[in-house]
Amino acid sequence: MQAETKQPNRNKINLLVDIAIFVAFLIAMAPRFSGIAIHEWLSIAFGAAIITHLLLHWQWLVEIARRFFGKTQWISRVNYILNALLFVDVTVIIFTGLMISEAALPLFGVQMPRGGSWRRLHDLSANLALLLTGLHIALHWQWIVSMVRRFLIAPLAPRRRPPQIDMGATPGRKEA
Amino acid sequence: MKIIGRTLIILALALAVCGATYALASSGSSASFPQRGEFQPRGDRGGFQPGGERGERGRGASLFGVGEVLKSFFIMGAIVAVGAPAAGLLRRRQPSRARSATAAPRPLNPE
Repeated sequence: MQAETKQPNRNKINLLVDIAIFVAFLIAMAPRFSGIAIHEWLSIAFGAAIITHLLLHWQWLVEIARRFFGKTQWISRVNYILNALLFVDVTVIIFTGLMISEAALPLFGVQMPRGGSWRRLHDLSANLALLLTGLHIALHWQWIVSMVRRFLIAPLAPRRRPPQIDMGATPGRKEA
Repeated sequence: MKIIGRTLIILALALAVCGATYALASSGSSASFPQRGEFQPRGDRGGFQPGGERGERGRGASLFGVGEVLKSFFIMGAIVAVGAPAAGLLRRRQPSRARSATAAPRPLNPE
């Protein structure tokens, strides 16, 4: 019993990390809302959150990588390819963002060489991330819905009490 | 120790992507991209621009930027609205015997 209370619920951890990543993604995608400094720092933190996300799903990543050309569901292959594209895209966003950094890197006295296509690549990869993230969420929609119901909605919803059976009471008898 | 090793693998992969991106951006293949600071008519930049132009978005935060958050949210919502039922249909077409633990990402085993 004690071991159960100490063991954190993996699904709950996954859900919380995923919600945090999603909110961070939405805010990072709107630099006019957050301001450029928060945009940059949040995006750097976003990279760390993505690493956490990958570590939490490491077993699945390794398993599908092994079975990719063997016997596995093809939807798992689609999922794997989509995730790989998303990883590459997020890495490109963060890298190009650092290359055009105006707040984060200059704080440490690092000035990246201006010029090149970093700004354009940053915009393109960010637009692509919207599409890929949407597809990523769509593929896991059933899991998201069930976990939100289980961990967010169910605890808030009033618990239905089972009808109390009074063994002594007889139908139609009014209590005084 | 395992987690450190896995993190290093992820960082190494990310570094490889960064290297490829750097090579791509530095090479002539990106010559078609406009250079930073180069004049570019607004009409050329179609599609959704997250954050808009760098010059437009300024450095400070603004509540007017909530529109950007909502825009991203609704774009992803639209993709999910189309993609989730399609993914559900595709899963149902799979024979139930083939449905294994590989269908969805599993959480990391406790270490």
